[in-house]
Amino acid sequence: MPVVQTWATVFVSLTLQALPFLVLGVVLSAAVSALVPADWLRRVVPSRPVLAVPVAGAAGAVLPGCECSSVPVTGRLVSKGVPQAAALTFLLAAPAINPVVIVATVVAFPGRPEMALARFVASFATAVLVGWLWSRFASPDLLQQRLEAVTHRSHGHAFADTAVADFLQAGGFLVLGAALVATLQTAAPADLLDRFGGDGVVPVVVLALLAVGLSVCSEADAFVAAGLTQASPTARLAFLVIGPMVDLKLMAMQAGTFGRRFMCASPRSRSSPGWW
Amino acid sequence: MRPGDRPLLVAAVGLLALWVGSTDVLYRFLRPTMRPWLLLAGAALVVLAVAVGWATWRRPSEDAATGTADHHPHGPSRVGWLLLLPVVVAIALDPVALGAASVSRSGWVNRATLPDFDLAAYLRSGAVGGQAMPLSQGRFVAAADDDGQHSLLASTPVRLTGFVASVDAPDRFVLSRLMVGCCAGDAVPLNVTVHTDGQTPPAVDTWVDVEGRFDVERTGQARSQDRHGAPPVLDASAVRTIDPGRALRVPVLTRPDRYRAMKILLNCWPTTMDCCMRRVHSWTAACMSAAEATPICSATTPMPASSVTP
Repeated sequence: MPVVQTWATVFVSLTLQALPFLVLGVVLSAAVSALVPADWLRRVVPSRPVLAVPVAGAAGAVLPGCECSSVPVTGRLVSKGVPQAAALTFLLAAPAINPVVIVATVVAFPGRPEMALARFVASFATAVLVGWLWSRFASPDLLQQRLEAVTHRSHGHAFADTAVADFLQAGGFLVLGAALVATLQTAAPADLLDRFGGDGVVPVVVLALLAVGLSVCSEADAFVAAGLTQASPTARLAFLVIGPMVDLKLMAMQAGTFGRRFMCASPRSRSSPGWW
Repeated sequence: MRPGDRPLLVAAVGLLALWVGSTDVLYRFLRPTMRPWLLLAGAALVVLAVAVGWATWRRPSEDAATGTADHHPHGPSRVGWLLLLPVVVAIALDPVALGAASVSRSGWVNRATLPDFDLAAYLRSGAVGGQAMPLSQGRFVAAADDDGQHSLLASTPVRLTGFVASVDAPDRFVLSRLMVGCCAGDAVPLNVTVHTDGQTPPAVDTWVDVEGRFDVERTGQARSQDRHGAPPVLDASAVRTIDPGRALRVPVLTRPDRYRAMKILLNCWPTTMDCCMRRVHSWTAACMSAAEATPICSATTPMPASSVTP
């Protein structure tokens, strides 16, 4: 059965590819949880959302991972008392604007560094805007804390226990998302991508939806976008901005970490500003 | 989930990563440059599993007394068990490398944009003896998209390597290679339509070496009928079935290594941005030409000095 074989290959490879980033994420989240004192974070992160949001977005630029790393880290940041809006901005910005992803974009679009610059600016602006909107309009209980609370005797034990707990939680949902994406990729109609050429709004929307459905890792999506030469640069930029912020794999992980209501509320608020 | 199950689950995933990372199985799923990261992740998971398992085994009563983990209402639910799924699928279904089946179901475009590459100089360098020069699918497709390269490509025989994705007619088949950014999930097929000049095409999924010339006319015809990126056409003078070696069994052309690119970027940070960009591009170009000879371009592949010239 070639279809089942293709599904199995894509499913296992998606999971394996995310694994190093997930492990990096849970190690960092465990470090935040077990080693970083809560009052230090409160001192470093400005208390007013107007300031805290862009600071958190800029902090996203130093996490050299993809979406799989930022979910558990964000979860632990919230449990340490970082304002929700700031944590959300970090969650949205980190996968799209870190150095690894930006360099990948530069390499994927040779001779056109403006694509990487546009990606950085659009992603950062979207993340900050959503953070501000969130701090202004969202009810405070929307982002539930579903990560397990680990109370412990020593730093070492707390670290290992938190890492294992976060790995099982985020990893389980990652597997769920990977299975969904593999199914979608295997079942997609053969000429789906032949239909979006040309200018206008339609191809932009199609490519944004495609980014959600394909759930290509943010470290690799620039290469996929570079291959979509029939689409306009704007449409490809939408693909690069939307993908790391909201895609199927990520939605499964977010639902597991922050609750289902968060997942339903956020894509709507996130999906509009990225389109220039 | 009982406390004793968690380290076992984590260890299972870690061992899967170590197994895939230390064998050729890796080539079915991931870009070869992901290998060290996968090994590192596997090792970290095994260490974590051992640490937590040891603590659980030694002091089970204390855990129960302090009420950790499973007594918490939001503790990791049964969802963690899903992590067994990839382990089971990888072992039981024994997934093979992507092949023709994945090409036929994906409608990806047959276009490529590759870093600056002097095709003329490359083809001239092998002109001695009149042998067909090996050319990567990506290079061929990119050159076929560039009108300025057409006459050169049509007059010089080249050799392409790939697998047969489909047989369209008694004298025509689609030759394909998959380009991978990170993993098989983002594989993009690059196709070339091969006219065999009467020879019966090989079976689907066979690996072949094809020698021939770019056919400007037929490519133009195909593209005028199908406005969405019909593959370029190659008139084959020879089609040879090959046994793909270990490296070639991977149906991928790997992309230039981003981490290497980042290192270059960091190293030349003090100089101007413009200089950085030039160095990154000349490096990717070098990496691409190295990939002509050895299909896998990893960070450890030595770059031929001649190809680094700007």
